Amino acid sequence: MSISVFEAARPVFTGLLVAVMVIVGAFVGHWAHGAWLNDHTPVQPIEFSHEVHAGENEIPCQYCHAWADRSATAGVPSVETCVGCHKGLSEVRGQPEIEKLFGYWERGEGIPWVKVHDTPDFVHFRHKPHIRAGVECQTCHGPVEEMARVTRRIDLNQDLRMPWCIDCHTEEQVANGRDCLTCHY
Amino acid sequence: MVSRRDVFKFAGAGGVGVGAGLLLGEVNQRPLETLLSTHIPPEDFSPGLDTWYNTLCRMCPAGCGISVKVREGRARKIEGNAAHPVNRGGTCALGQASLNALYNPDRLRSPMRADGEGGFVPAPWDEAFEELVSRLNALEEFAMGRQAWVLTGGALSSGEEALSRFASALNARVLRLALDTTAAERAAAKAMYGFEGLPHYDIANADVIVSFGADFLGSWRSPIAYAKAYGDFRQGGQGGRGYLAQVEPRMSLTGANADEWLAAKPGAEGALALALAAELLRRGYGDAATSAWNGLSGAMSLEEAARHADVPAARVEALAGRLAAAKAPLALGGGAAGAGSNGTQALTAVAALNRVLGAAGGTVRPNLAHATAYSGLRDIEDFAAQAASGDVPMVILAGVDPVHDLPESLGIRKALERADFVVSLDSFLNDSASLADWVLATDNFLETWGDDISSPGAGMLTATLQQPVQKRLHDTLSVTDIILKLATRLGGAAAEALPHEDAQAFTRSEWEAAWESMGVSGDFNARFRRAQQDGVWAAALAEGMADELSPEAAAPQPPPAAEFAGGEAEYPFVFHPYATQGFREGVGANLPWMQELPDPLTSVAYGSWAEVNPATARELGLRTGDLVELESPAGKVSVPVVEYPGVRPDVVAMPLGHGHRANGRYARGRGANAASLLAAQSDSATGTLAWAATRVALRALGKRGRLIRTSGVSRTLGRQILGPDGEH
Amino acid sequence: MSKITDKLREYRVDGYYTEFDYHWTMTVDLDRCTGCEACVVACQAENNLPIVGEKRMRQGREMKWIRVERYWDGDYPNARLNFIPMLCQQCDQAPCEIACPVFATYHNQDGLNAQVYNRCIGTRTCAVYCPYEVRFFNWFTYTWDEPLEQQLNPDVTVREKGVMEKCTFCIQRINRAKDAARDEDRRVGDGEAQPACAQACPTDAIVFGDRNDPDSAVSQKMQDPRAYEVLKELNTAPSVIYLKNARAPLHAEKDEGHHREEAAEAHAAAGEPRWADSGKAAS
Repeated sequence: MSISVFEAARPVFTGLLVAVMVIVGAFVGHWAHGAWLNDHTPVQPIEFSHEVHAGENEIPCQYCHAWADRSATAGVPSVETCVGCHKGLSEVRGQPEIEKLFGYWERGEGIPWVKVHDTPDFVHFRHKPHIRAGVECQTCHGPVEEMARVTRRIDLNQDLRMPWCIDCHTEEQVANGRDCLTCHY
Repeated sequence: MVSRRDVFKFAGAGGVGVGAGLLLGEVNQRPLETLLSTHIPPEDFSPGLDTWYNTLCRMCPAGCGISVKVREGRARKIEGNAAHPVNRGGTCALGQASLNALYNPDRLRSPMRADGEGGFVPAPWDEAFEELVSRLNALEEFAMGRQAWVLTGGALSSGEEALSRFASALNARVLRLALDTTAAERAAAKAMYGFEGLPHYDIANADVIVSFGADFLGSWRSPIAYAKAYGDFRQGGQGGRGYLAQVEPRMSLTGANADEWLAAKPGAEGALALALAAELLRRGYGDAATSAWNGLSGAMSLEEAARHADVPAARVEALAGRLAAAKAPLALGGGAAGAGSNGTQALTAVAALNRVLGAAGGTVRPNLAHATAYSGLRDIEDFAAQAASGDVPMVILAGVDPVHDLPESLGIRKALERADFVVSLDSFLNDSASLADWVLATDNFLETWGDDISSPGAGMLTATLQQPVQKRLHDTLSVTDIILKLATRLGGAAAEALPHEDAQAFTRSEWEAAWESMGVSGDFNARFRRAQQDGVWAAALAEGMADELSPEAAAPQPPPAAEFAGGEAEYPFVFHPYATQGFREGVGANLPWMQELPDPLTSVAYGSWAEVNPATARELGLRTGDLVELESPAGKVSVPVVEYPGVRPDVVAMPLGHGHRANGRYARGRGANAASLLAAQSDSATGTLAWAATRVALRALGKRGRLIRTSGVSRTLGRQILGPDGEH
Repeated sequence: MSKITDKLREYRVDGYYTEFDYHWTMTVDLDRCTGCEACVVACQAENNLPIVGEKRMRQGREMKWIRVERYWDGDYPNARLNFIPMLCQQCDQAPCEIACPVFATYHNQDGLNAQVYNRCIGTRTCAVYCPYEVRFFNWFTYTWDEPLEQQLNPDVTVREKGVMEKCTFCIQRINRAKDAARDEDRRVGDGEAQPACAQACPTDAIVFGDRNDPDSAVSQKMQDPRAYEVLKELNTAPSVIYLKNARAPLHAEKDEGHHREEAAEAHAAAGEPRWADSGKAAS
């Protein structure tokens, strides 16, 4: 009988390997979450369907998000804008979601929409130059006109990460498009 | 070697890891944010875009025009209104920090009622109005000759007009309160220029300026208008670079920028000015009127005056030479020089110097706005005496804090404690408001309507319109709104005098009446809308008006020796309180940006200090940061000292505006109140408060004080910081 | 000296700009500057600088992208005070840029010394290398007493714990001016981009503009014989050019028995280190 150092240390090795596996697994899991499972589809206070408005009824994006070509922010429409159309649409009155809208209108409240697309910290994304350069809304926001509930699709823009911005800026030869201070300040 | 069991172990471990990773990713997601939509957006609302409103800055009485950047319904930044004749696009630190007042965490959010135990409880407006109306009605019935008192800051505004009408309907007495009452300067202008009000000084076009105590770049009158002019006076002016001599016992911000600083003895400025005038008369200066002055035979010679003021005679001689050679000379007088017992005579001597120099009508110009006539010491003493005998049934404090801003020795605190009922109209629970029975929460000036006429302004009649740039943050009303609502509820004479619905309607009606009386024609609505857009309406001086500044004037009398409260043996130092641009008499103390802004001259932040000459400090064994007690005949305070090379050895200087007992978290208990040391001395000619006529004793307390300074080495030590070569 | 500079440039990494598109420059006329500090508060308001509080202030953790330094000359009664506003000099050969291990600070095509918060890992090396002491580290995530946060400028980020920050020449305003110019397909005109300090300045001491435009106000100011660079001997090529105060030298001090060098040495010996007073304060 020989004494094997390896045999004696075996439990230690096994333990170490288990620990390494847990750590590697955690990295894989975290990466997988970011890569595939990070679609962000929040439930909105009103089950508003872009599919109905922008898709079926072909309302242009900037009818409601009216500041996109003028301002850094595209803006969400006021309750007045919604009600402006829906007052005349008697055929959909009485539907529970539409009644929610009129509830906000009558109480004089704004609608607390949940933000879907959000840039990381210390970044200033400005809609105006992008819209004026002819970038389609769908390039960043995805095919919103097909979405019943708006979702941020990571397969499309990798969770709004910088390489994706830079690739486009490089391809389109945007002036100062690769300079940090264009967006980070 | 590796068993099946182990493989399962590893696989299991991997699985656990992946699960943990997924969970971590899920937990680490950014929190949900909401995009709250507007209900009905105002016409001028556009998210992500700035909206600019021109309005009026009310942080000091200068009356500058400002443009306020509003984003998403909130004021974000103050800029100067470039089209405003007073500040021409410039702003000061205090004006920039007015946003701190608007968004101050300690601003009153609703009316407050005293709970009888020293505290306050929020109460609804209706309750406040009911209580006030019943008190005011009772006053009418049972006053029996006892009058109510209204204490105001005396701005030249519609709001002040509403207060005056209200007070006279109630037969109440009005006290217009300020530490610096401008009375001496007005009296001097009346005597020498035959002009009622505060003159406009054309600093930009002067080539030699001698300033007796007027800190025109710091806190005196209209510092931004003067700073704009000063820029041109230094560089880019007509006649090359101007020369500035500053005569004052403690180097102010203006003194720090002057070409020469003459550390004259407190109270001797007038004699020096008159000696210069006499010398120039001797050299053949002056006009027909001044030739009748008999050469100012009573004035001292330059040498005598220099000795009297304890400044080198050679430099006074040189200064006389500079003034004689100047094309557009100008003498300024103000600050402590006009706030001694001989203040009016001193400033009259300075004005006489301008007459001799031919500056009246040249660099000294008239100004169409009248000036506020502030209350003299006698009125304030009257108030205190009536309160002491229980004859003050009601006091209305309209946005003033006299308990902090004015000397304790005037007895205003005691009077407020003795009065039957005190109501304060204020945004903060300040030192005076905390003595009130009710505090009615008022708007910030960015939330309401109003106006102001700039005095002294900038050489033309300038009326600035104040408009709300955003909705009210809290349940507040403006002073004018409160007065109008009270008048309506009271009925009778008050309602007749003030039938307007709110501050906006009242301001409009005042502007309409003013334009009508001035014969300004045209469609009122269009003109008013224009004024609202521009933020200002200005009218130039009529031709030939400047000539009216050279009337016959009696020869100025030599200023009498300055008298101080407190004997020299007991109180060896003359006390020199001064206002800084950031704090003034106290308005800046509750603004965190102002507390955190190092004082430009001493670099002290958060708190106050006393300045002593380094030689004096050495003599007393003091060094910067040591705590001392200052005692005057009127009171005592303890403050840390700062060794300041710009103050006379026989003077102790201290900034005003600190040392609040209340007034919110940023102001309360920080520093000491310089005003509490001031004795109730008066200017002998006008009977107003002489705030630079008190002596103090200084005693080391043997411990270090809380002094925060941001500066490091205060010498360049040969480093090339201030420029190559030369004197550094 | 210029030879050394040229050599240095040769060794720069690729992407180093030797010519700038715009060359943003500031001139500060010390003869106009009164030391009033309007610029300091204007900057604080525009750039969301935190209110650090009395305790942090005492510890020397003041955050001011622009400050007014004061230097005494002479002694009583011939004392004189000099002011100089000090801010990031946007050096074209910046010591801080060489120092940063993660390229969080670098020079961009407009001659600006950029600070990228996302990259910054807080080594604070740049602040040590900076001879002007104008870089400020966020030791804490500062908060605002509610509702003071409603004043914050939405065009500028609020920095958090662990990053370095400094003057940006109000890059948000420059970007806005560029944006407006692009709409009209032209370059930014003179005076269209104004940092907050220049706009607030009541004596027009601060002038800002593009040095590449020979007609711009700032180019004209740079021609002034009073123009100089602070600590020029360090060869940092700053983009902030000062115009020397034109006051005549102080009155002859020999007559008064003062000696400037002696006074300076006395002060050095007395040791007035930065924050000396605040550090020892007690009561």
